[in-house]
Amino acid sequence: MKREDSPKTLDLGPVDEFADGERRIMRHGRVSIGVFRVGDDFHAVRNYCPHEGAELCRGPLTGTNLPVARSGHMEWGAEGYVLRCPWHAWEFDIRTGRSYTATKMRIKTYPVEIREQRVHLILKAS
Amino acid sequence: MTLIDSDFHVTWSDNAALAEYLPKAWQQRFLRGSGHSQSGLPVTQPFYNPAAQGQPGGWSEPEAAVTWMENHQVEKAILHAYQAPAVSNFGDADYPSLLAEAFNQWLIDHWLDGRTELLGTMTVATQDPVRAGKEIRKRGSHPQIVQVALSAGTLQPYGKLGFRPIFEAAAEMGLPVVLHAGTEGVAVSNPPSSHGWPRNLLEYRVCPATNFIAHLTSLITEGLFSDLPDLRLVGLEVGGVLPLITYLWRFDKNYKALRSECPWVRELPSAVVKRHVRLGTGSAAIGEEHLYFELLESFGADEMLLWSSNQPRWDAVEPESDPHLKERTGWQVEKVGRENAAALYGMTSAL
Amino acid sequence: MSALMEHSKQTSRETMFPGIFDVEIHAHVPNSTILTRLPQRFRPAYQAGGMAHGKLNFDQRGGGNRKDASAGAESDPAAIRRELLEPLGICRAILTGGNYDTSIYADLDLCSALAAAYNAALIEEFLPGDDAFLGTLRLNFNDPEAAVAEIERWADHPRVAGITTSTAGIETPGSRRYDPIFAAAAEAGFIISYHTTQEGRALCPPPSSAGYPSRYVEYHSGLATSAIGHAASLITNGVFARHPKLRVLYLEGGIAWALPLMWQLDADWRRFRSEVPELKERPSEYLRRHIHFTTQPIEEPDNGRDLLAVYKAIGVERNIVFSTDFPHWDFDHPDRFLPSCFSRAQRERILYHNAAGLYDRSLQSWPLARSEVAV
Repeated sequence: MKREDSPKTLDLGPVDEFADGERRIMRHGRVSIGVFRVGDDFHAVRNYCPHEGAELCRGPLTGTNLPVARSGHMEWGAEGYVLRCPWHAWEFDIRTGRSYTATKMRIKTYPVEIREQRVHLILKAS
Repeated sequence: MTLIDSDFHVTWSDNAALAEYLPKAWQQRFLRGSGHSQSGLPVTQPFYNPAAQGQPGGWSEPEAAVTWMENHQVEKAILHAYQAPAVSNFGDADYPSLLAEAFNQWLIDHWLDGRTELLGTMTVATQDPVRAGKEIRKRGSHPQIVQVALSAGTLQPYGKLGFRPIFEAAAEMGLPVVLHAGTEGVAVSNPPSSHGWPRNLLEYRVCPATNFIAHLTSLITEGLFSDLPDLRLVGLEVGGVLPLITYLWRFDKNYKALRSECPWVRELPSAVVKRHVRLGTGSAAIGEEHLYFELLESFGADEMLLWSSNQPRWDAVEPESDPHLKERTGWQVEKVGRENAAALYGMTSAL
Repeated sequence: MSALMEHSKQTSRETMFPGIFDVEIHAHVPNSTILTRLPQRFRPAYQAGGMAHGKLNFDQRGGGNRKDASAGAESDPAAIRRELLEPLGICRAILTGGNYDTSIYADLDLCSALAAAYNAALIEEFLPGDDAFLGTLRLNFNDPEAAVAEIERWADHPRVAGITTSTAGIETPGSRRYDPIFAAAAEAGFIISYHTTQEGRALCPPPSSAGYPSRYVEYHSGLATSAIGHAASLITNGVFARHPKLRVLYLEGGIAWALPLMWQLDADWRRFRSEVPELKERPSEYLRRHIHFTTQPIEEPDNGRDLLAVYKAIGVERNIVFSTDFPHWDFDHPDRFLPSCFSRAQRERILYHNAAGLYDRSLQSWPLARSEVAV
């Protein structure tokens, strides 16, 4: 159950009930936010792609071929942290909000804290 | 302002003169079959061009060429022999390699030696990339050889691994690689468009732009510019820069989605192009001058263009009437007219 | 009704914006449905799939569809309405489907049979799924007799708007061998939509003159160059000179390339008119009169004003039409895809009026219902 325990935080419930690999998309006022659990980490990003406004958080969350200096080999990494926009497949890292595509576009990230075994989404953009 | 002309054509008027540079075993082939591949396919343009009839394919004597330069304030000219890169379109490998080497030496002896105002484009036969690399390191060391021409018409895009020795050698020697329109579809190379053979001259003349774009895309996505940061690519008579600008509006967008296919490309294709690619001004169709320059200025094309006269061919321009050399606000005419070429070809000495 | 009322009705009809006219939806007619329409003798071949299927290059994104479209949405009219037509306010949707390979295989009879089966399945079973749908035919361009027969079979159907085919084919698209097809299409008022696809597959030449690409990003970007060569072929080989009523539409090929192409062809026509005697006007005139373009996937210059300038030079008042390409990945959202410098009038022309002009015949034969018009 979500309770607003302060104007700037959303309580998303017990950590145990937010499974590894789960994502939740929630609305707070005019803003839609996606919260993801990856292993023991939680990440939250604005559910809005800066390109054409797609619901970013409905895209696949995978790894990617990391940028490398030389051709001829691929280096798979960032497994579980690369969010691809469902429309044009732009890649964003949910840890930093940065795009992999050499554009300056970033998505807003929000801190997530665990307090007393409960997941708290801090509604102030990082 | 004195100019650097990045597309100045030369040719040989006497086959015997060039044949002398070939080993005796091949001279007869050149003299009898010049202009044909071993498979018998002609190495000439397949469409009748009424405007080219009776027009020279290039300067055949240096004095006339140098006189023209003096009359038009052209301080340096980069020489191209129109037919030379077609050696790569023959079906065999030995003879084309020898012919390329013969041509290169002929160019040095007949045109470059003693004339520092002339700079030369060598060529290689891509059928034997290792041998081509050796030729680039050898004759490419001549101080007046400034770039390496490859045939625009091919069987494979230039980003493919097999061509690497050529690009590595060129980058090592600080020599740009140039693709000049004209050999698309020649001899054994692919048809000039993705639709097979064009049926008329106008349809054919659209092909150099799309062909160049295909090679450029290949070179970028296969990582040639990532692996060889010193590599530079030049496109001559490929429709100028506007087709490339509109293409980049799509290619950049695709890259943002598909970057993970080529993770060694770590910046937008347009950024790669702006650093690594230069284009001649010749053959650019300027339908509406105001709109043309508006689009070029928006892209920053004056950083990329190399003024090219294409003299003495049928579609040559004179600098006095070339819109690319007209003063206009926001247009760096000195860059187009000389500085881009000077920087590209390493002309650091006082011009 | 008084003349004044008629006039104001007419005026409001011209300036009203009834909704979006989407000229490309990849509605998918299931293979099983097509199979039932295919003569028995072709079914084993079709089911065995031995017709050079398969993509050229592995595609890293994980497939061609938007990830927020439901699985199989393209085969379900109700899903199309729920996920696309309603949310975006689309009042007319041209189904351009899949099955673009009916002109690229060696077995001519199989290709013609496939085209006919697809057409019957689409028109009789899929189109009725939603009033907004208009359909397009498949043809085997390599069998002009069969293709003309298909056109004539469906020419009077009120919900068939045209033909969708691939840009890629076995010979240059402006070839005179296709003349009977162009004539029949023009006679029927059918728009021919050329989708950039099939380059390098089956009997088609390599996707570019340089040869085969290594990666999908090369291939997909290069499709724009295929569209350039295609348009050049149609124009310079006199297709529009011989078929003055024919109109064509490029799907997903891009638009901006048409500007340097027009300039190049016009300059060459001035010089080499003798080589193309069928052309009685400048090539750019033929282009502007006969060729249309979908916006999707929209080109994205850094400066939106450049896009507007190019669109204006090509024909934003007439030739440029919106499409979603649902459910494909490179979808453009109608509210957000155009740079802000486009005026509202220009947006509405792109979103509705230009397509209404192009598909005027279909709007007469299958008009917007009063209930569809948002006044």
